[in-house]
Amino acid sequence: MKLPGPHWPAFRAGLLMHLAFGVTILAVAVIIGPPLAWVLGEESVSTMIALLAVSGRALVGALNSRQLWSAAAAPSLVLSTTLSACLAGYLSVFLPLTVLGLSTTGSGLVSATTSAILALALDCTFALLATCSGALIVSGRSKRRYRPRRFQMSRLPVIREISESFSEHQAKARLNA
Amino acid sequence: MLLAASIALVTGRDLAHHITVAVCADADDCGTFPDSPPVCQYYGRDRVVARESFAFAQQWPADGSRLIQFGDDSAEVIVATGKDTTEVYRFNRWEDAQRWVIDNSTDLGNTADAAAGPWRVPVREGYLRMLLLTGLDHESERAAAASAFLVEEPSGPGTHGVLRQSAEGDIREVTVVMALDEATDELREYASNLGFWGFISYSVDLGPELSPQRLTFSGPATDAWSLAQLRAPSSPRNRPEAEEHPQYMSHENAVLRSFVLDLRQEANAALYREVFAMESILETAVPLLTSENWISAGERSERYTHLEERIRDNAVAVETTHALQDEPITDETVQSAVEGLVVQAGPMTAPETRLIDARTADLTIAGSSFEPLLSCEVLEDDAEEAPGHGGGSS
Repeated sequence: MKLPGPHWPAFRAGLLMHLAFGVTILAVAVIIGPPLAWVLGEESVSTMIALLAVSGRALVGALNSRQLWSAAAAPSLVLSTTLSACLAGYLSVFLPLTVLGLSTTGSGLVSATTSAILALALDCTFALLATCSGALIVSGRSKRRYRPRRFQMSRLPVIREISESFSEHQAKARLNA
Repeated sequence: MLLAASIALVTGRDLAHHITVAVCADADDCGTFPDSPPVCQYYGRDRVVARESFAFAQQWPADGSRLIQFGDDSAEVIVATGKDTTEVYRFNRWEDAQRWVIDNSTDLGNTADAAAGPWRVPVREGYLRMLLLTGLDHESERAAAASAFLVEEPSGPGTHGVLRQSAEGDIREVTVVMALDEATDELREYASNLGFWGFISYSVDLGPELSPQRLTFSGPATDAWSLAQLRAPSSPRNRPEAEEHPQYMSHENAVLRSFVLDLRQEANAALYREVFAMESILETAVPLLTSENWISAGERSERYTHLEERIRDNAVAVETTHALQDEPITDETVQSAVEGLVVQAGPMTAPETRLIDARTADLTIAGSSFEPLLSCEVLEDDAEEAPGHGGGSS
């Protein structure tokens, strides 16, 4: 079965969210990590930051997929959109830093590159799994209609664009069918 | 939000350093150094020597890394690169050393890697490289100023030492620790006369082409000792075996005593040439004390007597008291702490210490006594008053 392409407006929104989250969690780790590690120890602080990163990506995945679910999008479309946005956002932040970091190593460069690529692949997979989990968790709740509250993401221009674009997409699909 | 996070990321490292210092400033368990203590502004040869040499504080901020702050506010970070080797990074200010440790310590820096996920992609190096490329970094790229190698038995059984080598490959310092329980009777008597117990160490600072600059004898200080004892060669002295080393019983700290001879003075240099010889270690020629090897007891005794006389007439005496951080006060911990203060560049573990008192005396001045370095007050319990010394407050 061929997976559908991502829903591009939702993909753009998801990419921005993952970019922002990646930079934010890195900034938090850089600023708060060392003083906390000095007090609590590196292992526990690293674990906390890693958990925060995973849950944050799940939350971003949930937010990114919510509008699509509530517009009754197919699960394959939702997942392809949210996962591709996660992949692009994650790699946009951490791939350049990994490459830069590898350029500082001297001897043992080949083994360092291999282990870094492996670590990046594993962490990226983890991020994708977290995003997928977040998207699936909200799938049941978002399918029912809800009344927009005073402050709601549906008011944001990009979300309105997603809804309108999806409605058009659905209308075209019915016509073609 | 992306813009704000990006700005925070770029400026985050300095912010992290400030927060680290703020968090740990008053917390003993963090071990962050407090501000340098006020040092008496009295100018004298002994003050200059002491400020350059004594370790105000040392701590282990991460496994394999030792951070030492000196009396002149400079600092060194000693990083273990192998079982018997270290690299030494020198900083003009201890705050810069601390920042460098935070940035480069595996323990502390890996928190940035956790932002990518649990498998620790090496993000931290990339982040520091990014700061360097954008001109926002000034400390991460720093080459080791020196390296050090541990050597076993350089001056015979029961001795071990460290050779410190500059980045250009020249030997700049030789430090050897000699355990007194495996030393000759003559060495034990010499150590006892200088007020040491447990071990005696010597350190030779070298200049270009191995030219000797400074010779220092150091060791854990015996409590029941005074300069008058050193100056009265004819008075009876206790045999080393008879002493009970009450040092840690009357104090709750480790006391390091050192005698420093300036080898640029001809008389000191002549004695140095008499008792030291160039030996080959690790395919390198280094000066070693050879009195313990291959000579008769009479000749050995004569050499140590000459050394003692030279110290009595010309040395700078420095006595520093260090509080041990979170360590019980026992013979072993005190000796270990003092050895860590003596062999600063060595790849060994030692208790964390912090200087709480320092005294110096210039023995070229007749009748001089120990004067405090940190409080600028002359102690009343010294045997003789120091003549003509004006003290100044810091």
